[in-house]
Amino acid sequence: MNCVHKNVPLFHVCDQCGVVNAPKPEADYFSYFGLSPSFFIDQDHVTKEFFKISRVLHPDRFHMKTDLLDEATRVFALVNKALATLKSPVERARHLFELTHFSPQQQKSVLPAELAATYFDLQETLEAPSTSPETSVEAKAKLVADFSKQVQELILQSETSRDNAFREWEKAGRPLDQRASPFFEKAAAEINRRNYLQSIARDMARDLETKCP
Amino acid sequence: MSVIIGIDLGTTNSLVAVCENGQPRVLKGSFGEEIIPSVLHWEENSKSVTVGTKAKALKLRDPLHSISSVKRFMGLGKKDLAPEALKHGHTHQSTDNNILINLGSKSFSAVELSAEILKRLKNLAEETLGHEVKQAVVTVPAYFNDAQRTATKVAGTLAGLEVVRIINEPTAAALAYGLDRKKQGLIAVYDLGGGTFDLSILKIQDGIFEVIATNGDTALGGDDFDSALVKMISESLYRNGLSADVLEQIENHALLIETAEQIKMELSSKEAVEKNLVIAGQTHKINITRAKFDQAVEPLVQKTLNLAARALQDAGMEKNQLDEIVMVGGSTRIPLVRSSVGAFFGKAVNTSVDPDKVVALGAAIQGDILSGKNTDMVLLDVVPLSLGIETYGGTVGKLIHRNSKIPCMAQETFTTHVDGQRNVLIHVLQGERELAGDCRSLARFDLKGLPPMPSGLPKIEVTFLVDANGILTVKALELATQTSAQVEVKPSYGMTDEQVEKMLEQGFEFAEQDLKARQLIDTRVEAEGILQASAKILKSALSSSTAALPDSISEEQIQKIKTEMETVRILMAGNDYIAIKNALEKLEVLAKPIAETAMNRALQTSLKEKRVEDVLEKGIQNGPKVE
Repeated sequence: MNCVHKNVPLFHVCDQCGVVNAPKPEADYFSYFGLSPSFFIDQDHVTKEFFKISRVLHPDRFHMKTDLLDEATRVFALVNKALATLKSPVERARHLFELTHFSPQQQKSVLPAELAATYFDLQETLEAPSTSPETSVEAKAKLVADFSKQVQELILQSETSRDNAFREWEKAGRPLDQRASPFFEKAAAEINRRNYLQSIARDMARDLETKCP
Repeated sequence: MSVIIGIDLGTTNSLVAVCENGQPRVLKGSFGEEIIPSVLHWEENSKSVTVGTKAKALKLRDPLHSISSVKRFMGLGKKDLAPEALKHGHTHQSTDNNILINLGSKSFSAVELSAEILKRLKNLAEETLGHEVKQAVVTVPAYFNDAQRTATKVAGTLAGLEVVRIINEPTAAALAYGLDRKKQGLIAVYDLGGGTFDLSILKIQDGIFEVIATNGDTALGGDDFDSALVKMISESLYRNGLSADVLEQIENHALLIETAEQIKMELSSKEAVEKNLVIAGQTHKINITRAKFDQAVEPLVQKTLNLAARALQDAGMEKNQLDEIVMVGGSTRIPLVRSSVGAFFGKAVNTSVDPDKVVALGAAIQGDILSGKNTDMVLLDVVPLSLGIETYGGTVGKLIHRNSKIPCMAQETFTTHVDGQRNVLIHVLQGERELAGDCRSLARFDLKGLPPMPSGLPKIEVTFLVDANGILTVKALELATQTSAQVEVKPSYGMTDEQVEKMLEQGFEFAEQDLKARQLIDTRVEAEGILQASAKILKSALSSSTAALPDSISEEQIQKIKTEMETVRILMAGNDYIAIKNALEKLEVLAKPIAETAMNRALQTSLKEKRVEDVLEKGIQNGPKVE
């Protein structure tokens, strides 16, 4: 049930109908914090707004008003979800995709060419027994660390490209329909690439741990 | 407005606190006791269990009927039980999701034993506050899983308390630390208690306490430091020629643990401790230096730092971003702990809070918040461990990730794998591991009555809701057809609902028996007093001149009083307290006229000899009521 009265602030309890003025189900998460959909948001503003909402809507405030407790818990869980979404760049981007009904084309992630040679060499070294100085545990750890560093650089590059794609979209007037697709396609590809890079760096660190305990 | 007490249900010690006018204080019992040892003792054939200092003393004499650190068994099943956990003395009968510890001929679950501790604290609070207490906030280690939290809530119910909130210990400590509004910034709470370790990172800003990340180990604490010392002491005793068999005897082992605990405490202020231990009739000298102790416990301290590093990583923070490292829990008195934590974070640790009391104080503050009296503070906590369900192939599909803010909700849709499949088994898990078998199983439930459909067509929407206590509820709904099936489960916590109900019933049953026993004792005491007073009054009435007796009182009446006194004496030997009460009433009516005369005479005497107190106290006050 939603409040039908005007002038009741979002997330407050309406004195007249006695319900929490919750956002409409179709409302985007940006609106929870008084923002319009954008990839670049003021995180301090979000935190400040979140704290304001917490003061009125946290279930602890409804312990003595048990008839509203379940509703407050449900709506506050939504606010927590909204906050987590806006705080994470990847989740925030995905939320923007949802809002425009954009679904990125399924792309198969491939190892970037500049990493390929190092990656296969490294895998071979990790498999080798730790007998010679070149294949000692310390040498392997150093190779993995170097590789991770290289991956981190590529991740940063990818993030910059992703941000640029969103910047282009903002310049185009932040359309929330199919006009967003070309920009979002590019951003999605970078997000995909970044996730892939992160997973290979993680797998390599895990390999080092399991193969050279 | 009713009061909500705050309880720190600790592994080693438990406390109860309350907030008055916004200020929390730990409640003291009638003997001045604040910190109640979480030790229990059960006497064979007794209806009740002894809790606290007395039980701790009995533990040395009668270890088989005594137990401490029951918190370590909360919400655990046979599978979770570490092989060494119950090595010394206590046998147990356990099932997959419950552990029953034998104290002599009777077995108790950890929930029942914890309920006894909670009862003791409830009584203490009621005696001190002078009114009934019904609601409580109870603290648990932040890293307690769903089963352990629910078990704690059930223990409250068994103790006659409504646990209105389960709150994390380090968060509670932060509330008490930050009660003063001037405290702002990023803090880490390093909480090393008797049995558990937690590290929580919080942001405090204008009364908002936001937990950013938490990590810990529910089986790492002071008990492990004691065990390390027991090992050291045992080794030196072997060298003195004592055999392992002798040391493993339960009485000797209890003595070793007790001694280790004392040595550990003394080493916090001394460089070396010497003790004489009497084992098998012989005195053995034990000498432990702090350097040796530090060496033995260093791996344990290192373990806590590794967990701290993980919490920092989850928070996405560097060590130097933290403003304060707040030390909580008795084990943070250990100098090595303080110096290692300080070195790890690169700054002096904050030891300004009372490490034993701060958690209970924080729980009382949370009680104040919940009762609506404190509107300045809000606590935003997180779920410590990821929650998910088993997916096809035995892996875990995570629905809620660790360190998600609570309350939180997550939904995911699943489908069937076989044509015409009529039911789907949903297995709820908690933990960080990838495989279902490596995570803690919280509940399994069958979603029955699906309409027969080709595989992949049904849409089963599973909803997880974690409430503000960090406790999970799962709902499943079939979406594809209009006929919806819905199941709500409460995760298993080592006992079925029927078992809990049965225990509650037994509790009431015993409560009635206990009440009868107490009434009988009280009535006997009252009767004793009345008999003595009546005898005294009769004696004085008879010894004085008959003129002192009112005309209305005849020899016959005096004889009647004597007969009634005899009746009371006979009844007192029996168990029928109502019969005793009735006889006493009769005696009161009969003795009233003489008592009045005696009273008058007593007053006259008092004017002459000023001995009214004596007469009143011994003669009349305990005697029949005189109106």
